[in-house]
Amino acid sequence: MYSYGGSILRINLTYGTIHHHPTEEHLARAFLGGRGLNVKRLLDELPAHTDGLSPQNMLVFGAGPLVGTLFPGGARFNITAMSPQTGILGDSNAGGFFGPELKFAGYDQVIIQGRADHPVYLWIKDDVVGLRDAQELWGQDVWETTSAIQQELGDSDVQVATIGQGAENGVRFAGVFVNLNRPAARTGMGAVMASKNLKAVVVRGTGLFPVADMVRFREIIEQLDEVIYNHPEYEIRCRLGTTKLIKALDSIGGLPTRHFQRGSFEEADAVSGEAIEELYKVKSKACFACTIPCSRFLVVDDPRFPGLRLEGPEYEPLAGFTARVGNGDLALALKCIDLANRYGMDAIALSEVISWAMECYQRGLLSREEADGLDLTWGNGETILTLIRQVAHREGFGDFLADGVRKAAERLGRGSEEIAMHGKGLEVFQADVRSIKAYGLGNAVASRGADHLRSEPWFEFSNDPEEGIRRYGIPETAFRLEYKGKGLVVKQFEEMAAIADSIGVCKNTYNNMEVLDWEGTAELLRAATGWDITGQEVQRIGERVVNLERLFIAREGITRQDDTLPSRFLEEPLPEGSGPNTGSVLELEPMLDEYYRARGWDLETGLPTKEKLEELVDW
Amino acid sequence: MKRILVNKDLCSGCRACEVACVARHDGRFGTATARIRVTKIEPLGVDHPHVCRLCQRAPCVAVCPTEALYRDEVTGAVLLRPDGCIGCSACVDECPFGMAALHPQTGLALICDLCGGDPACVKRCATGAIVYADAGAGARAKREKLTVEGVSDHV
Repeated sequence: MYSYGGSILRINLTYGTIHHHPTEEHLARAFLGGRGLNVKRLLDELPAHTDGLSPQNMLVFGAGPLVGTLFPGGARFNITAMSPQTGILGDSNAGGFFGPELKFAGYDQVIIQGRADHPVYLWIKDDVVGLRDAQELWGQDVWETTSAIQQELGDSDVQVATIGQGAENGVRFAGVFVNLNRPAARTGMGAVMASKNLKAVVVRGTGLFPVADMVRFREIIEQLDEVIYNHPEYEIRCRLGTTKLIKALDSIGGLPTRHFQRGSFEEADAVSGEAIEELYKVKSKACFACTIPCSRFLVVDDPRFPGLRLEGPEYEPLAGFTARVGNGDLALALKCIDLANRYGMDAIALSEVISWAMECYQRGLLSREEADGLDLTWGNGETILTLIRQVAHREGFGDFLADGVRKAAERLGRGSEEIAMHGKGLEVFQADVRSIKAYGLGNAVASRGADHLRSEPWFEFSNDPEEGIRRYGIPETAFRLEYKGKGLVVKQFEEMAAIADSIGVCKNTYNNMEVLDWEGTAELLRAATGWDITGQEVQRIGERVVNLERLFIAREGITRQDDTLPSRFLEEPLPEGSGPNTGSVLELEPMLDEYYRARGWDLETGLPTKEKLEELVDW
Repeated sequence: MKRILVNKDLCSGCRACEVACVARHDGRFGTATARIRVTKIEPLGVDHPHVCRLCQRAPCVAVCPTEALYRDEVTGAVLLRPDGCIGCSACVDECPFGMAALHPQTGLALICDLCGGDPACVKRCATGAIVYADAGAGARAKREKLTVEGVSDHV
């Protein structure tokens, strides 16, 4: 099989069994790999209502056909399981260098089941695979663990996907981290790993894999490189990466300031990507084979945080530990992000539980005594740092927050549920969707709970009504504050995101920069795999993945009524001072109708119809 | 003579150079057979591309017991006569820069051949961390920088 590692690795930690079988070509053709093949595996093999933290849960690592190739940023892999955080589909994606190494070792997927009787790590060296003792590593953070394993194996090129103390201590939004700073953080995949007594998955691959037509493949990549180098966003992405969004979203009133109480943040300039570039950036960094070095290595020279060095951050953690918690101290925010990474926790969820607690305190729903004496005033750096440590160790008030905001609000009650910013149990990202309506719809219908990375419908920022007519027949689609036509936009971008995650490329290039359309993707896949795949077939695979994920969460009871967001977005108009967004709310219901119609799903239940499924299940 | 000049401060650590090298020489994707290597110290943010230094008095050529390694007159690269190589790894042991290896599949010497004067690694580098240029070009730029910065007075 061209462009694939060729094998599926299966590990049962309870019995210590390890075996592999060839990657099924008919499944690869129908789901490509990564996210698509992972959810297929889960739907086929995982019983409904499996407890996310039970040995029966399956933890699936998958890397798609473009991972490890010369594709710029063909670096991404997915980790998929039943989520212990949301109780529905758990799925998270990371870049760096782990995915390519897995492919070079010969694997498209690693499926882990059971529970080891003591802490172990999985060591994959090409076709030699074994479990090694990790008792000494248990209790160590992401950085310490990564270095210790590389030292033990005597090879700094081994790629380590590890958990930190957060996961070990049962934080439900703990992630899996590669290359120290690159998390597959959403939906608690680290918590699943910890429940299996699995500290890390470590891989070294010295193999080479072929593509069907290397000459053609390289030609297409050369053209793609030109498209990227000439893209209007190229330069700013190289300089700032996604942190460019702090200023951009502030200017349109889309920041999650003080837990979404305002859309702009008075300290935005001081905590912007530009400020990081000026004060702390040492060099640009990139994922595997990427021509857009959008990450940055930072040396933070601040006497309060001696020796603080980190890569990144992305916009999400940066906005989380600045605007969301009301903090204008940039070095402090970077320290928070560094701690979240080292303890191995999702910075989005972490910033939500902290900012939620702060708003509860502001509104008198939570007293200082109940919060272990912590002063929950907005932007209190001492409190924020303390809470991060407490959550990671499940100590004090941190323990109360460590199951995520939905559970914390259920426990606290007093109406705090109304301001718990999550969808389907997953904490909302760092933008106010009252000012970006397609993103609002995307968050409401996302298969893993409220999240933007299931769609990234950037088109609503285009302000190009003619293009809106050309694409969707609706000029309003090109404007972020309009809701008409957004069902069609989200459908298309969901399918693009599903393809990006399934072939293993970055959504910054694939969705936000739109460097390849369906036909362009098909052309590349033809050169890679040798299949006679068409652009239409690529789109249908994206649609198939979205539908299968819908089936997976429908099995757990999800219907239309769960496709919603906090009432703050739906009912509270954005306050005065939010610029052109003032007075805006998210018109979710008409958008949902339009979306389900576009999907061919039942309007009442929000579930795929029999006809739609029969149309898609044709492999 | 042109060589691959390295500026590690510009290197993003993406390893595209390694992949491009393997794709050109082996016609497949991977990094294990790369003739250019990026060494990383992740906690410090260090990314260092290592290249063949095209030594004038090349230890690898000198030590080869079967004279399988020879100098390309045009590019100056050290080339391999595959028929002559016995895979003894003398060149690997002798290279002071760790830039000779044995091909994991063929077992024969693996040394940068400069792609005949059009190195694939350089072509794919997005940041300018590796460039194919006269050695003097880098030195001249350095001297100019020192002059501009005024720090050469004491040397």
